[in-house]
Amino acid sequence: MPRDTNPNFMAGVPELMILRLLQQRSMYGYELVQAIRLQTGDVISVGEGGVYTVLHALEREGALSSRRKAVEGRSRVYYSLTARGLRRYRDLADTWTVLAGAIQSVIGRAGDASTT
Amino acid sequence: MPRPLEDVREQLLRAGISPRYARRYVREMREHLADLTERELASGLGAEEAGERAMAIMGGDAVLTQTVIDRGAPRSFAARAPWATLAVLPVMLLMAVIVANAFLTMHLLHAVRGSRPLQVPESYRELFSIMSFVVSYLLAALLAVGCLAVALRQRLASGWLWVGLIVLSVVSGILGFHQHVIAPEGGPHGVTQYSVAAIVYLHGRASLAATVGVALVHAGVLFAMAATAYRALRTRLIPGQA
Repeated sequence: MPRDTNPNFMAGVPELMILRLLQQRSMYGYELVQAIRLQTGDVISVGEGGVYTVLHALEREGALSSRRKAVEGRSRVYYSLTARGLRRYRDLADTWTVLAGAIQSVIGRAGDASTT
Repeated sequence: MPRPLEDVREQLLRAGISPRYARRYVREMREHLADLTERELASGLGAEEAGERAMAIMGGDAVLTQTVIDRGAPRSFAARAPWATLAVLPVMLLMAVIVANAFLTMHLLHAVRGSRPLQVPESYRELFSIMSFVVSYLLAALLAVGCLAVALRQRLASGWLWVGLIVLSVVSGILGFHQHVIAPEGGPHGVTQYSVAAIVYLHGRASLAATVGVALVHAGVLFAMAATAYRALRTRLIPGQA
């Protein structure tokens, strides 16, 4: 069962997830939505329509490239990470790692204080 | 029966989203819808139910449209500046072509005429007449067709279209490029005069009254044709305009 996510915490998350997944291989929109659901255990969902707006914006900024390919009789647009996209992914991942560590340390201390 | 997500495309165009982007987004969403429908069919639902369920998962037309608008999808230049697209640029283009035509015909004349100005080949005179006709009468009609196409394709409000068509019609009816080879008086060389001025010359002089008359008729005919075409095409091409 998908959990509700607080939109305030979600800024930049779809972009980070998409860049990370595309770092591994080229994917199309539907595939990305399913992969994010699967890998986050349904905790994070980017939205069926929203994924394309993020993909297109990243492509406009040069972080992604796209190519239409026919696979098993179906024509789909596959997105790939560019060198600029890789740099962007690393920056975002670093930021998130630092942020998550900082939040975790505060939550950890609060937890310690409540048990004493 | 309309294709799925046709209403999304229509609403995006009306919101000023670039037609190319709207087409691309809807095309990818249709492919996404097909994947979702396939998944629902595989889970055992019937065709109709699978289609409805897939559309419900996507959120429906209104949600998809709003998602694109909220996330800052590119807006077309025509939607951001309809005054420039439909009124200023066509008139500037018309004037630029009139001037370019003037320079071209001047250079051509120097290349083809003999040592004396009056020796202008007949073929040049014919070419000059054709080019003048095209620039003065056909070009404005072509620009008007271009304005109609942009306004319809991008679902623009018609206000600036009417302004643009009127200005275009009047300017194209008034301005023309003229070339006069004046016979020599007492000397071996004649003079060639050029001007961009009132389009109608009577007895060798620009006639303001005749020019205004021609301009009004020209503008009236062009405007009436464009307005009729616009109304007919809008009813035919844009849903909900019948």
